[in-house]
Amino acid sequence: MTNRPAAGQPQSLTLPPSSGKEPLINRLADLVAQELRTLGTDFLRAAYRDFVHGTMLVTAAIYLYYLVWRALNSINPDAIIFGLAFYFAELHGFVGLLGYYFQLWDPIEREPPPPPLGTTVDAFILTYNEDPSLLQKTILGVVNMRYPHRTYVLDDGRRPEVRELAQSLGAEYITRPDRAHAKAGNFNHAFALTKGELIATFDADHVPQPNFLERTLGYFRDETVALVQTPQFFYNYDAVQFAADMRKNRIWHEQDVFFHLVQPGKDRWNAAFFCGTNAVLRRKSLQELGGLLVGGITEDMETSLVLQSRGWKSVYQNEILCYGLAALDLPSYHKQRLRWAEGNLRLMRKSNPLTMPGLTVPQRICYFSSIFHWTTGFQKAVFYLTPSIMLLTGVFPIAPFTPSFLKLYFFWLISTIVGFHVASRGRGRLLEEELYNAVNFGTLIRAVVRAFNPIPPKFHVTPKTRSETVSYAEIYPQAAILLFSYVATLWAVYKVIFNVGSKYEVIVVTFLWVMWNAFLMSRGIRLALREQQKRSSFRFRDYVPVKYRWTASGGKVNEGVGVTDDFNDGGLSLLAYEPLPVREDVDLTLYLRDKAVSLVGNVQYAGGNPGPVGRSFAYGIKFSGVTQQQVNLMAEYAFYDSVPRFFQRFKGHNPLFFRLVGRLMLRQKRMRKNERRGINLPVVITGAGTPWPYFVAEDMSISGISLMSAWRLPHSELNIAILTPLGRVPVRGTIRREQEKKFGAVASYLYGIRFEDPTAEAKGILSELFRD
Amino acid sequence: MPAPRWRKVERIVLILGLVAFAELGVFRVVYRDIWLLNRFIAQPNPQDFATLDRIYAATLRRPQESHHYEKLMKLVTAYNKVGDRSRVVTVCRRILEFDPENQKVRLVLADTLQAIGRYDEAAKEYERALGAKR
Repeated sequence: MTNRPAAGQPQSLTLPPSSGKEPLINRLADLVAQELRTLGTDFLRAAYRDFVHGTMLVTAAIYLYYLVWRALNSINPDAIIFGLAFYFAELHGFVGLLGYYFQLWDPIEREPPPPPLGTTVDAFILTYNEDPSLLQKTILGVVNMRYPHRTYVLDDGRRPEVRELAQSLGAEYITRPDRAHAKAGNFNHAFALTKGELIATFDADHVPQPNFLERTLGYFRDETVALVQTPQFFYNYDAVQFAADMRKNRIWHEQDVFFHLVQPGKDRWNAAFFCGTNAVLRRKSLQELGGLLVGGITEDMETSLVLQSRGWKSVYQNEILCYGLAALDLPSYHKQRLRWAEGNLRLMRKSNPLTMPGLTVPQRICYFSSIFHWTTGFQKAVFYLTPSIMLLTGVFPIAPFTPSFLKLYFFWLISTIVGFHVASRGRGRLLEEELYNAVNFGTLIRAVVRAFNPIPPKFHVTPKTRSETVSYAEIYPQAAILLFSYVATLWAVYKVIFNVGSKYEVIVVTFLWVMWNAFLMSRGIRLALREQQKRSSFRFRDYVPVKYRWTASGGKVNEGVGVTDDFNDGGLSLLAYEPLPVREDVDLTLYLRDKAVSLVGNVQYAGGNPGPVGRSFAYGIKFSGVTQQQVNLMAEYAFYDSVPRFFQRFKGHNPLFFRLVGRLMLRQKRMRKNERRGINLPVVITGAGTPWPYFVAEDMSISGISLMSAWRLPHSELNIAILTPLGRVPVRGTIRREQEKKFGAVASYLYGIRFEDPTAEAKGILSELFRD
Repeated sequence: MPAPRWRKVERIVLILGLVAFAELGVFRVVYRDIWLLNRFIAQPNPQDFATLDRIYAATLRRPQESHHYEKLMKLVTAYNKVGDRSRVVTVCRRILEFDPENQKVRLVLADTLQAIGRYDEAAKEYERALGAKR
């Protein structure tokens, strides 16, 4: 169908394009629903915005009232230090909340103008010690970006193999004799040697989409724009910072709110800052500073701060245009967070946004809020320790601890939770945020302590490989809190059992608080001890049709079609419906959208029957003799097709408000007669008019199937064979629905096909497949 | 898979159990007197009278100790059980020094004074209890 119209822009009153397959009544209904959505959506958006603003103001007012009441009525004078520490922790939360609300007041969603013609663009890829196999994907992605540009690999590692790799992929290679000022120094060295008016910059693990420049350069038509920043998003969803629930189709990563809400919110105030990668900078603006600023460890943020103080503009394009590699294990994750936190905090001493001339008040508030966020370590430590101290000593920071206080407290707590959810517009997940606070608080405390160290810090590159062993040192703070909570809880239990003390209701409330903290700490420890993926490079989850062929010992040639479960340039997991010879080579052809890649693979292992019905076999296959060109093709497919499509399947982040309204307006879901299941079976369509007949079902029911095609299918009547664990199902199908779908920069066609007069055998197999 | 994981769980459970046991020991030391008073209240034993008297003397001598109030309350219960009314009066008066609004203790004091024939004092305490209730 059509893309969603920009807010406020009416859709023209034309029927959706007809392929002659949809009844007229369906097309008319779609048109009416579309119009209602546009008109209704604008009204709803305005109403929702007012609702969010109102909620923020009310919950902030409640928080302020709570703090004033607390200060006047309930700081325990018999435990003044304890009482004040707890109070200041609550005050810290208030300041943080105000900053959060301010930044989220009115995020901007931009639609970029078309790129200007004739602008010279240099694309930098900064690397030091990253594996060349990882770098290869990035170089390929940068070289493949549409819009004329020159690609430079800036290698601080001075590696001959990287020079060779860069040149083989059409990029130029720059290195320098030293490593002064680490990443910023590397950038500046190349900055002096190149001439492009605009510089797109990427870290070694961030692979841009082909349309990256097309979606960012248009903003530079405004001569005052110095920077266009895009979000960082990561394809390795098994990383520490991801909370993925495949069964419920939900995914969340720790920086979701920052990149998709806070930065667009800062953009409203011209305070969106440079994040070091996935950005385009204007050379002329950097020339005023002599390049990126050096001497800190968050040189990116500092550079944008100084540029904005000089009147330059920054723009945030809230669209995922790059996919990178998140920190693979907890030590790397903590190392990265320590650098960010320390760098931000040191900025208060080096280029203080509160006092730097040239900034507007909103810009100062936005930068200060970002820096202030990194001081939550101490605040969280107070909250984690307080209930245990209360249980152990019987001393409370709050006095009197009365039912009326508890009523006010819970009222405040619920209003703050509601305010957070509403302000986060469907993206904030309070439980996950608290979990990552529990994981990070020790690191953030270290960062504050180090930020006061007069010795300048060293820039450490975040490791891009996973450590082989679990690092227990990373969980000492959480383990200590957990143990302390356990000891305190036991003490309280003994008091109750042996009838010591009489404030049992207070003990119960405090006990619940301790349990909550213990839950957070145990989840943090579980995150750290999560099973490590043993493979050296990430496997992309995708269902790709694979034709296999092998010769049995008797000389008989066996052929078949299966589906991958995951793949990378080293191997794949294959699901097939017949046995394959283990420890033997098979010829494989992978149909990667519109490219076919022929390889030889060795079947490493056979898994058990992975399906609930029939016979299916899971195999691990390792490729051999893969050429550079094949690696490139697989990388292009992975990053331009697999990864964007994989993440699009997860439910959107619309606030509950809009989800409920959307359900009322959505017609199509209620029209299906039969239950659809996401069964990804291989499908062979003969006479489809496509270069090859192999596809994979997106979902199926007893009466139909959906599948994706790189090409438009010219015929509406199809001869289909579905390969299932129970056998081959030949059936005729009619295309009922055709929809163009865009995943990243690539467009495909989604077809809804209805089965026509299936044979009794076919019906039997389909019924068996869908039997509960 | 199950064997190593089970052993880890066993180890954790063992460590937590040891911690609980050690903590119980510490608890008994810290709250020794209250522990003994509870035991006496549950089952008064003439052999524990000396211990009771020791706790009584120590509690009255050292009001700044932790759980002073709880000890006083338990001493009232303990001496009521053994019928030592004069000590009940002493302890009740000490409680009321800390917590003059404690009507329950005041009524116990009044009842005890009446029982030992100190009617005038009992009447005063009843009046104060009823007066506060009003």
